[in-house]
Amino acid sequence: MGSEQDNTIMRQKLLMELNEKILKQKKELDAQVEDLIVEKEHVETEKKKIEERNIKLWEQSEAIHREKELVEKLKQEVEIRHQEVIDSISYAKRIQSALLPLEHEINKALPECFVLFRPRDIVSGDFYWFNEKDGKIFIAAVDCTGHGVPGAFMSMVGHILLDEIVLQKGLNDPGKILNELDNNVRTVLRQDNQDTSTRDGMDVCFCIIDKEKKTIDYAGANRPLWIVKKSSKEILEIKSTKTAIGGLREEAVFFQTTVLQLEKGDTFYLSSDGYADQFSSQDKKMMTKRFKETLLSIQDKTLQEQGKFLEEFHVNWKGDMEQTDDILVIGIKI
Amino acid sequence: MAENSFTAEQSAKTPSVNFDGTSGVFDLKGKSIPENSVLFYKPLFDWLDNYIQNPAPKTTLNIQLDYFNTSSSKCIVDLFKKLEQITKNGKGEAQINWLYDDQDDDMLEAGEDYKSIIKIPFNLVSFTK
Repeated sequence: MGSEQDNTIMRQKLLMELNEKILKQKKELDAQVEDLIVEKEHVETEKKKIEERNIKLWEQSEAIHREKELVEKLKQEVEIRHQEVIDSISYAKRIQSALLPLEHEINKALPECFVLFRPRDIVSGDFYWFNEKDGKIFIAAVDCTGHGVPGAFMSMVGHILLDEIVLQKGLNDPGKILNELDNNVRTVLRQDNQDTSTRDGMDVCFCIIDKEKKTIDYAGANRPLWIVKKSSKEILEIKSTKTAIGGLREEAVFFQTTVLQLEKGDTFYLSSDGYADQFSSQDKKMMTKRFKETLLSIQDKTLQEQGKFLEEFHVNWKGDMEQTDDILVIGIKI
Repeated sequence: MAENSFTAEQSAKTPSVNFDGTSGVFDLKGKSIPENSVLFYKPLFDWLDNYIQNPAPKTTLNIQLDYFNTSSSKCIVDLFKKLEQITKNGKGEAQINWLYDDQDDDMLEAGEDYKSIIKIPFNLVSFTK
């Protein structure tokens, strides 16, 4: 019996131990479960955060996308506008070109002659004006204030006024023509009034050529006349009146005519300041001095060749530099 | 001090401007070919209008331009006229140094033209590049 009792006690002890073990394991499991729950919560908050972040990123990317689309759209609009402006100015160029004298007409009257005309932009503030009247040749190189569109507006004014002064009013003295042009420009642009006035004007080199007598009547507003006598090694400069046509005037100015007797084989040049003012890719200015030297160095060439040479020289000088100003050079051999 | 000087960085189309209101030394250098000259010179002129009310005893403008367009040339005259005002008002002395490349006849001639119409000391100073 005693052993049976022993057995029972043993079993009870074992059971208790087992029970204790199970309880311990349960506690451990409970702890693990708790950990897992905490971890799960943690994972869930993380997940929520990530989801929120995702939403934010999505919104941001959407915003960026919309922005990009807007920029793209604006870019397209600017491009369209730009093209419209270019088209419009290009069309204006047709009008300006239509007003310019025809090359073959000039060549017919002046067989040995070149006109180098290189606007800086599409339309030009420089222009040249040509007419034949009473057996004489009227030719002018004109440089209006500015370039591009404002220059071109001014050139229209100048061109029409010269037509009116020479062809309708019949003036045939360069000094008088420039005086009349000056008065008319200031009237047309209301430059008599300090408050409303624009100060824009034009520099002019005006010549009347008598081919029979081989004389030139010259008057200049800020632009000289250059003459290279046949087989001469220097440039003779006929100085201009140092005032532009138009603009504010403190005192009256009179443009003077100079009459020059030339001989067969003499060459003369009318120009704007654009050629000499061109900067090279090393930012070096061409300058009048170098321009004159270049002209002297090409005196053995025909006038047509001179025009081509000057153009190539300019292109090389300019390199990748922007063109400074409109360029106009006219060369004529008697 | 900011109010006592006027500066502008040189750009491809506009000159560097360095006007020191305390010392009265004004430097202007480079090219002046802005598309709208009046707009470019306006802030400088506004500053100058203020300066000439109370200028340094001696104001010297050193102006060295390679090239300027016609519309700038009118602004340059206006600039010189403002400096004339200093002497005219008896508030100080002003003078102009026109610096030009000795090879550049055009800039010499431009300087001579300005000199002939400006009523304060105007020095033509050549330099060799």
